[in-house]
Amino acid sequence: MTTALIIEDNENNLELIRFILEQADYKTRFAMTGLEGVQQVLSIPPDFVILDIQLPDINGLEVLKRIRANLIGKDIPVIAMTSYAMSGDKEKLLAAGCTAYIEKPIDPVLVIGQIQEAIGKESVK
Amino acid sequence: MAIGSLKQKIFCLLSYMCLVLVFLNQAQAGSFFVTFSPKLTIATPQLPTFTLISWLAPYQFKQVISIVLGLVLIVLILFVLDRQLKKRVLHKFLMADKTTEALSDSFKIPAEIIFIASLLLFSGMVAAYSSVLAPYQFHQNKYFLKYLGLGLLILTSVCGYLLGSLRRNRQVEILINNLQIQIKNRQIAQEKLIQGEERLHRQNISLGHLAVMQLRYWQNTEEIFREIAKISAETLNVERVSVWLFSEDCKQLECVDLYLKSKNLHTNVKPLQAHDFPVYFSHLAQHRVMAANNVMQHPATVEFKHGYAQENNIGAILDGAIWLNNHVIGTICHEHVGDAREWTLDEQSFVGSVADLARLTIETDRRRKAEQALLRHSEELEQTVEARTLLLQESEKTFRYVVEHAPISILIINKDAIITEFNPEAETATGYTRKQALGKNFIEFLVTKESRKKAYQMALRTMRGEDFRGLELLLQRADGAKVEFECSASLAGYDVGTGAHQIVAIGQDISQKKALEQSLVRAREAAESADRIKSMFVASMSHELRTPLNSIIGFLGVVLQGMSGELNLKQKDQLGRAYHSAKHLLSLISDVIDISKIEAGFLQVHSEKFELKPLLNEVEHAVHHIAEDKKLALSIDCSNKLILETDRKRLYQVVLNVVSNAVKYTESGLVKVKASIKNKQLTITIKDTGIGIDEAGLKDLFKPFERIESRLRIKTLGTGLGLYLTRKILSQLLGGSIEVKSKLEEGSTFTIYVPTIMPDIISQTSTSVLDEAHLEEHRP
Repeated sequence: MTTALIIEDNENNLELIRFILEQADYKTRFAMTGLEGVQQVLSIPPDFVILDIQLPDINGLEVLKRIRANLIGKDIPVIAMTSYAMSGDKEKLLAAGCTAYIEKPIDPVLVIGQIQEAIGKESVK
Repeated sequence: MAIGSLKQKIFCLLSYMCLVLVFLNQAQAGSFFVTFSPKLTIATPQLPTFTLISWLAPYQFKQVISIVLGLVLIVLILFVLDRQLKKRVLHKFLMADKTTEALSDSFKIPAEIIFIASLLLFSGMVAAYSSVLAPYQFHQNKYFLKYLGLGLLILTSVCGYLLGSLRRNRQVEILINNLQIQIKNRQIAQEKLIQGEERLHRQNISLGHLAVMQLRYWQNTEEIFREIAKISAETLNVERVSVWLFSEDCKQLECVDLYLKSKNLHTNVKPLQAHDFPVYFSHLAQHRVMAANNVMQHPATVEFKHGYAQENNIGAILDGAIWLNNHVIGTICHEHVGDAREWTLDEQSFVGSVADLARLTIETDRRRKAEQALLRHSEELEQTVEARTLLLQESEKTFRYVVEHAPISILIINKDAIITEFNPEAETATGYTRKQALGKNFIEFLVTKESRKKAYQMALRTMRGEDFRGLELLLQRADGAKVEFECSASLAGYDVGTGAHQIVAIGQDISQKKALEQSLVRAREAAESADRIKSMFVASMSHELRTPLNSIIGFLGVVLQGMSGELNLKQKDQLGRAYHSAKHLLSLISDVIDISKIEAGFLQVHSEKFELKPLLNEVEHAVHHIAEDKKLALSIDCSNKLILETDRKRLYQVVLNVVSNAVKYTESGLVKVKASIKNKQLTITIKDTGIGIDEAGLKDLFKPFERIESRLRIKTLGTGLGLYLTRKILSQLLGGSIEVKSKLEEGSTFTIYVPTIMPDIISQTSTSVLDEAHLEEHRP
């Protein structure tokens, strides 16, 4: 069973994503802060990561960089989610190694397709 | 005479030859005949010699007498002639200086007479001798013959003397004749000389008169020219005299005055063109005086032959060129009517002098004009100077007033730093009076020890021409207090009195200003921090407001999808309304935040290179389902090769906004999107057949929270911020613009203009999502 690590500080959003993923038969874990997320990825590597960009301690970009900087985290698909992005943010994230980029608010039906596409892309690699 | 003398010589030679023959015959005839013809001599003693000179054969007495008588007659005739000649010669000699009758007629006769007389004499002599002496040896009466021969000898001698005398007298007469001719010539010459002198005298008088004229009419050049023409005509006795002056371009001669002597009339004729009379003009330019004795023959005037000269019957022309500064400026033309006329040298010289006078006239005229101009100019100058002086006084007054009333301390310092001017404001500011300050060294008097070095430097550098602005000096007031002054100084030219440089220094007490500045700095710092707080607020708002909305929308979506169990129709409808409201709220928040970010200058643009076609396809995709629901024809007309370098996301936002508006407000028909690039500018036209906008609506279209009244308003969702934001993005972020044309019930056309390459000025630092998070860390 595929495991997803959700790094998200907002409880409601976390619950929403968790619900949607579990509906689609994914196993989920979560981290409420950036540092905790990084630690979890590196200690028990998930199959993919759902990463919120606005986090209370270190931001999503930093989290992504730290994951990618490590051998363990190098190839794990990371799907960034942000409620509102500025121009250039997407490019920055993709440049830092982000696999996919989903804008909030998420569409419960479409989001699974987007995630599957992202994971598939990574696995092909 | 010459022929006569030649004849005489021939005659003399012949007669002497005859004489020789006769003497030969006389002296040696006997022996000759004896020697060479003895037979004849013996046989017939009479005959042989007579055959030798047969025409002298008759030697009868009667004949001899007639010959002698003839000789005597000749002598008598010669004597009479000689007397007459002598008398006449004497008469002529005495009357040589009086009689001028032709003499040649009377002296021809004696020449002929002498010739004939000589001829007769010698032929007579020959005849006499031959008739007398030849038969001598045969004659019986030898005495008779002796006396006869003697008589003949005397007669011939007398005859010879008379002839000689006649000839001498004749020569004397010739001499006298010559003398008379000479005297006559002399007299003629003298007469001419007298005439010439008279002319000269007349000319001199005329010139003198003209010179006086010149003095008298010095202000009226034309009058002088008229007078010149008239007097010249009278002096030289010429019918037409005209004065001509060259036009300014030297292309034509203009007649100033033409005087007709016989009519005593001043008139004028039309100008002469240089190209019509090239030779005449070039002659004028080369000669001081041009004398054409015969107009028809002189090379310069032959040009007038068939025109001017013929019309006016002009025979001779005498031109005096008027020279001024090595240029011919005109001519005085004397035209003699009738036949040719020989211009005498004195006439030519007179004309030259008249031309000089004319030149003098012109020169005087010009000088007079120049003098008048100069006078006028100097008057004007005086007036100007007067006006200037007044102005100067006025400005001096103003200057003084300014210095005395300026609300700033003004000091004038000479090169030794001595104060020469100290205005009232300086008195108030420093506490010293003007009297106290004048003559003092500025630095020692006013500047505190702390600032002296600065002040010296300022003074030195100002002297070198540098200007100082806003130099802060600590000055000592009269009451001992130290005040901070802001001084400016500059070199202000020369001091009139000493001729030395002087410095103008102005100063202002800036103690208060300093305090104000500090409070301003504090205020600015406060404002800056307030700004930072605001930007942080905006950033956090975008996050804080959206996060719960995102989960609301998300969960509503989940429930609506039936993921957590089936819903009945009513629940589905009600949850659907909640879902759409939440979405509307989210877009409203997004728009408000966008606007506030743009207004605060926080929104960053991110320029990238991309193709337009896919972007428009995305837009089409986004509105596709709405258009399909309404059965609208949505067409995109865009070439594949349109490449842009701008903020893709913002451009997408703008195009999507306009296109979705078009779709929203069109009930039926079509929406056409057309894109093209021209002159580095992208033009996107969005045309619809929708409800259109009236004029009042067009006015408010781009204002915030203005939703245009229409029947679709309630049906259609909208924030009222869409077009406002669109225009803001275009103008402030992309450097573009938007235009709209619309007619109610017919449709609207929105045109978006965007530069294909984003201008540099727009790229600026601002906050992005990632930076926002960074900002949040500093949140208190």
